[in-house]
Amino acid sequence: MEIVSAVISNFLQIDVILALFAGVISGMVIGAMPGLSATMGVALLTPITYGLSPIAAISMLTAVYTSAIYGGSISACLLHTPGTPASAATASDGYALTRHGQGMKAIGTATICSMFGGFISAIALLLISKPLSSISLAFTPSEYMFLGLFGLTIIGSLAGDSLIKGIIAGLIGLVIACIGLDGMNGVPRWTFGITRLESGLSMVPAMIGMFSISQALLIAEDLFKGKGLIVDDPEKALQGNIIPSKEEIKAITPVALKSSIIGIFIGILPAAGGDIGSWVGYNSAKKSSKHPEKFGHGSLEGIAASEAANNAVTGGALIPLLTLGIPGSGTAAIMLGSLMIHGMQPGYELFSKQAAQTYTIIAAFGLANILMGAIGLLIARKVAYVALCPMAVLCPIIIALSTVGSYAINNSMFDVYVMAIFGILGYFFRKANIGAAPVILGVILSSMVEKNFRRMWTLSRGNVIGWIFSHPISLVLIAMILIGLFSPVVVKRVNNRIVMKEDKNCFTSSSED
Amino acid sequence: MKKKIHQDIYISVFVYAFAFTMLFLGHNIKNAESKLYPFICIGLIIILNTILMISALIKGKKMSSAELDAANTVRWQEIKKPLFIFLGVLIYVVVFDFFGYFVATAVMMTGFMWILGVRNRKTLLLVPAVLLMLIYLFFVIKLHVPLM
Repeated sequence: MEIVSAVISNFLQIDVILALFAGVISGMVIGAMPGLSATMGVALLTPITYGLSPIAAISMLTAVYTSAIYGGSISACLLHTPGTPASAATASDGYALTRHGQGMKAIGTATICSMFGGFISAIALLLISKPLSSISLAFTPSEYMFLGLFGLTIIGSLAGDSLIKGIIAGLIGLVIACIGLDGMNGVPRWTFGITRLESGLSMVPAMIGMFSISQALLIAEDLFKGKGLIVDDPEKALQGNIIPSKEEIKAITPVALKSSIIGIFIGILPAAGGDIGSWVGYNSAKKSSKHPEKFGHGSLEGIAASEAANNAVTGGALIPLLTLGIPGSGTAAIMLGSLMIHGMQPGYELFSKQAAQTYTIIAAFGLANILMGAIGLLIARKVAYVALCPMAVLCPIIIALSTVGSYAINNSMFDVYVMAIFGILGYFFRKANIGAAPVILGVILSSMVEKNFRRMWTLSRGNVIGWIFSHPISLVLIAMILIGLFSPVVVKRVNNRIVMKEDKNCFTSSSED
Repeated sequence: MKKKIHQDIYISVFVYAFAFTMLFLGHNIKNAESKLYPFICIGLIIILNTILMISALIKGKKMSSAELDAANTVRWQEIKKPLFIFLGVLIYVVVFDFFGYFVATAVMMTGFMWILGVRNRKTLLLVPAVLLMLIYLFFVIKLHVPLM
């Protein structure tokens, strides 16, 4: 009862409510812009949260996360260009409806189902988190070390075309994080006598550089290739009633519920994100639908399945993040860094000592989804115009915001230089199909892995193998690491098959048209 | 015609350069315990990078020039202009260091928009003005960040 009253009193703080509104609107805008992802949105907006209380800050970032995933559906429906990869499955059905003058109905369905999926995942987060976090009480240093390594297995899904390159990038992140004074004994490592390097490389400027500056460079590249305009006139496309009819809502509700459950499970897995969640949800809905032939040609069920699943992934991804400190998606990895910056260490303590704060954040996440739905229905038509923002204007805005964000952490120019270096690094990593996220994940999880590795080394008196074999949970975690590393390869192949099959169907039908 | 090289080989060379530089510079770390974990990571990087290089060599031999062209996603023709923009970012950061955020950002934004093809004067003036005003209000007034 005490916690409930504390949560209510925390929740009624004006900064929390304003942060939620700001998070929802900025997330929607970022998500609606093709090329800007939820991950980049969270990285870019993290510095803005410095002046906020931890509750307001993390609530805002969770709101950005879920709203950006939803925002992606707006440009997917309107332009056949998913604002985020998670909305790729929505694009074919949403755009087909738009072409038939029912663009607003497509966006309305996406809005309602995104809200539904996100809210269901918030309930799952509320119910599953505490029991899961209490498992961590049985952990010794070896379990924590393997847990950190298990968190790194998300690289399997974040890495571009090659798992091996992704693992190398993750390991580079682990090494980069060692720069600075050794946290255990204060010995300087790769500091070259530079005092500023003793506290290590700041995580946030590195994140901003890897995701935002590299994105600005990719946008510039597109512009030089002549891809300047994002969209034609959306006026003609945005017609019709945004609220689906009673019959339509009745038809899509079971699909949305089933996809939400699928999305939650996929979100919990460290190896899969919103993009995979939406495709799996979409495919599952198609298989069980009475009208599978409509999928890809303007099916509301298709939009409902994909959007409910990708927003349910957000809550699912927060479950292992808050309970065990392992992120379920790339965006959750960035949020792990943000949690640490605001003094919140994931694990059992988050649900015992900091329970009031944590439950407020979970409640705020649930409300963010409802707000997202309500605001989305009200302003989706306006947000759609965001997609008109010329890339040439967007590019310097991203650079200016990234720079001020990096500087504001410590009021240090050193951090701005770090951002720039990681920016060019991120650009090349993305160009080479390695992806920016594995390095950042390595940087974030390095201290957890190292600290517990050394504790285990000391406790085992050098007999590490014997120690591991005497701890069954460690063995389970090793098995999970192996599954986590290699399952994305299988999931990606299955996913590619589904996408190819969908594309083939679309092509066949458009030829028939 | 000279056959091209698979881009993973270039990546491997860069990774080796990173790993061996860290290894070489890391020998100065005084405490053996402090070296252990990063050196294990560097060792793993070298092993995996060797596998990457060997597989790239094998793949490169099997592929035709056209296939290699398609597989090599980092192309000088594509990256030279973004690199020019990055040079601009570096100059912007240096100007920020010496003249403050607002002057540097106003010049950078207008300059970049111009380079990227924006010719509308209103856009060139209003976008930096509005953004800088919002940044001033939020970061300088609310968060007390010394940006001037």
